[in-house]
Amino acid sequence: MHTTPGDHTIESIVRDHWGRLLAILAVQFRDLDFAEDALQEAVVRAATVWPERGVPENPAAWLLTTARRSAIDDIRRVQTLERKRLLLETDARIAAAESAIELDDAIPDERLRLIFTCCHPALHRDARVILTLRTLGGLTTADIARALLMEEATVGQRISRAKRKIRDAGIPFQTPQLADLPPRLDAVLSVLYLIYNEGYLASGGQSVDRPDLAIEAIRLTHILRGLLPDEPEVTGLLALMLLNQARRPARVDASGKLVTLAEQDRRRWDRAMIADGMTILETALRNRRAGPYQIQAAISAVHCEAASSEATDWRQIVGLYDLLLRMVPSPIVELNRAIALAEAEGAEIGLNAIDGIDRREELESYRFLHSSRADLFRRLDRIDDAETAYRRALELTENDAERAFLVGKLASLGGP
Amino acid sequence: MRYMLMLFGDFEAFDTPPGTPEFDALMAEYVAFETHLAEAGIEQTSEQLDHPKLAHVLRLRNGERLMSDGPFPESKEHLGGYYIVDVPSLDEAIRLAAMLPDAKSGAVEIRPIIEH
Repeated sequence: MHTTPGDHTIESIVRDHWGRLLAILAVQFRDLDFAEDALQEAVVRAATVWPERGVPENPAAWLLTTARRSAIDDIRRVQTLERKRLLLETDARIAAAESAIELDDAIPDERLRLIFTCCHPALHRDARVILTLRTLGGLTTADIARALLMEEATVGQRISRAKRKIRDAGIPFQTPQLADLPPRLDAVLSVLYLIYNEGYLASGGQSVDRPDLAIEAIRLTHILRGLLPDEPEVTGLLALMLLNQARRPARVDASGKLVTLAEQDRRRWDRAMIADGMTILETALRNRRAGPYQIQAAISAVHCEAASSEATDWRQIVGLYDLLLRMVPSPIVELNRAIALAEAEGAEIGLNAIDGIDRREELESYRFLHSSRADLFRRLDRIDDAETAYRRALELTENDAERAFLVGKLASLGGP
Repeated sequence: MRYMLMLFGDFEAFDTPPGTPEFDALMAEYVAFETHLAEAGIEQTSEQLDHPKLAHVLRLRNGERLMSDGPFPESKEHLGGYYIVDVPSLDEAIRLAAMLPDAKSGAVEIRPIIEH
């Protein structure tokens, strides 16, 4: 049954299918840029045809067929040498594409290949994030620019540069061999987690009218889990995102100020999402192949289970951080462990642990180091030290909500 | 696609004298690498460069020849040789590069070759 679509319907249909369709076209034509042009052309055509004739029964198949036809036309039409080369190379693939147009019932899922391409270690880290959002997430260049607080032109440049590198350096559209899978999967997961964290706590500016990257990251991780159901770290990352996300409603109060974990109104946590996250985490842990994301999810789970900060099993959290440190030694993990230790055994012991962090100098420009120390000084009534540390944290903060939070903390120190 | 795998190493890598067990062990790794290429049917060409101490560097500036003795004092790692391999994609080139002893002791730069 055909229905007449509004712009909004077309947009959401396109977004739902974008990554999947683009992946098929990219694998088929082995050129991401070319594939995207073709798909974009199909979207433009949908915007004129669908309102007149209604949304086809299988819109994804319609888009794919239209994109393939447009790609083939394009290859035939162009006269330049460069494209002629492409024509020779893709002649066989065109034949395959033409026959595929006739039997389009089952649309294969090639997104796994595409995600490994977009998160290839040969690409710059920022480029991986942007490319993943564009190709798999189907976000527009303008969406990405707003989400990452970048100029739209810069985002466009990064995307085309990355696409060129994929083509010219021969970065393949294929899933890595089994021996290469663990490091390559790590690269993919870290891109997804970067996207999530950029959404969870924007590193600069105000949080108005920005596409929600945290939700986008969760959606992409869901997709990846569907594609790699037996990789516990993928499942662990999804659990971690959900368990953090569930606590998000309580992180900001009515006036937009940040609220610390200890002071959060835990009734505002999303219980259904916590339950989801817990179930997913248990599935991951059942594999008995623990990894950093599973451990972090377990830490988040301990918080989610506690009725209050005081009632939290801080010793278990310290233990989990010890485990995490053995897998990924890092001063940031040590800092988090020290903060948990302060809760378990007192501010003094926590401060000593912070001072004893290996490679602590790497944290000097890390704002949470200073705000954490400030907080512990405050508890020990060392007001001057607390003030100095809060001010240092303030200097290092670009996010407005966080600045307001620190200013509030400074004011509450009062002093004589 | 063809890729050049450029092998970079510090002086030590060039100073290992032939005939020593270290030298033989190193050579065995290259032999193993080339055997792997042959068995996998990967086309390759390669050259080994002599010691960087034997290098001379020429620059023409305003028509004037400026010669200097190698090696470049500012660079720590020197090109010691290369392989050109023909493989389907960058992933295979990376996998091959990881098999070379230079990846452990120095660095292997992987560059696609422009085909005209």
